[in-house]
Amino acid sequence: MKRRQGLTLLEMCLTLTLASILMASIFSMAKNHAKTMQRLQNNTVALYMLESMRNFARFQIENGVGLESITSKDLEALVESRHKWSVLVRASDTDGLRKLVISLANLDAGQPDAVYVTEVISK
Amino acid sequence: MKRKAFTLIELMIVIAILGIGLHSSYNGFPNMFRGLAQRQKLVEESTSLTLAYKMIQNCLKNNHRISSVVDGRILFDNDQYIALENFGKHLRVNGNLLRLAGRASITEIEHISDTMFITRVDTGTDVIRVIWKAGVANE
Repeated sequence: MKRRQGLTLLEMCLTLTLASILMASIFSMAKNHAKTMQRLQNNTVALYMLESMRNFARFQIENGVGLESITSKDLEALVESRHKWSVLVRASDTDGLRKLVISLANLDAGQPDAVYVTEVISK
Repeated sequence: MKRKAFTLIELMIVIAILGIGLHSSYNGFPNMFRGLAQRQKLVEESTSLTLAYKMIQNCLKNNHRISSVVDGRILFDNDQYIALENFGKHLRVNGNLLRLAGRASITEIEHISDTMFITRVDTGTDVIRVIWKAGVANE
């Protein structure tokens, strides 16, 4: 029998398919990594934003401002951002405990990736 | 008989491999590596800002009253302090220095009451006016 000199077409096709799968996996992993890093960045920004919003609400409450008078616009004014952040403020009363619930979400991707929530209790 | 030249199919396969290689080199890999460098910077900025947040928080929960705010330094009534140095790139809390990475900075301290102050935090992508409050309420 004559000795083979190189790869057959089938072997070449298999090699190419494997190489393509490998490339696709690498690019997909890089994309996921980018998303994770974006989430990390959002978490850091949200950490500061929530702290600021919570303290703003506390300041207002300490100065006699009613919970219903604190609006999301007041809180959004604290941020100068290139990113689209949405702030939702809701005053609630459960079992005589009056509190302000502040929800924060990044809407860069159209819908929120994560919603960050904090509460300020009115004493 | 010994072959002297490539067959058409071999030539096509070689061209296909070269095509995939070139496409990856020009589009996929540079973007991927450029992205990696940017993301590494982002991680460093986020980490330093999170550390800064914890340092400020730890200092604030041990203090109840601000005695003065002078030249980027907040002095509390028990002689503890938070200082912003080097155009907001360095944060010093009771002697411990933290260097903020990349574009991150904390600047412009504004005194608003005996328990509260405002700083401007630049995270690299967002600028936030952060209101800080001294006391255990931050827990």
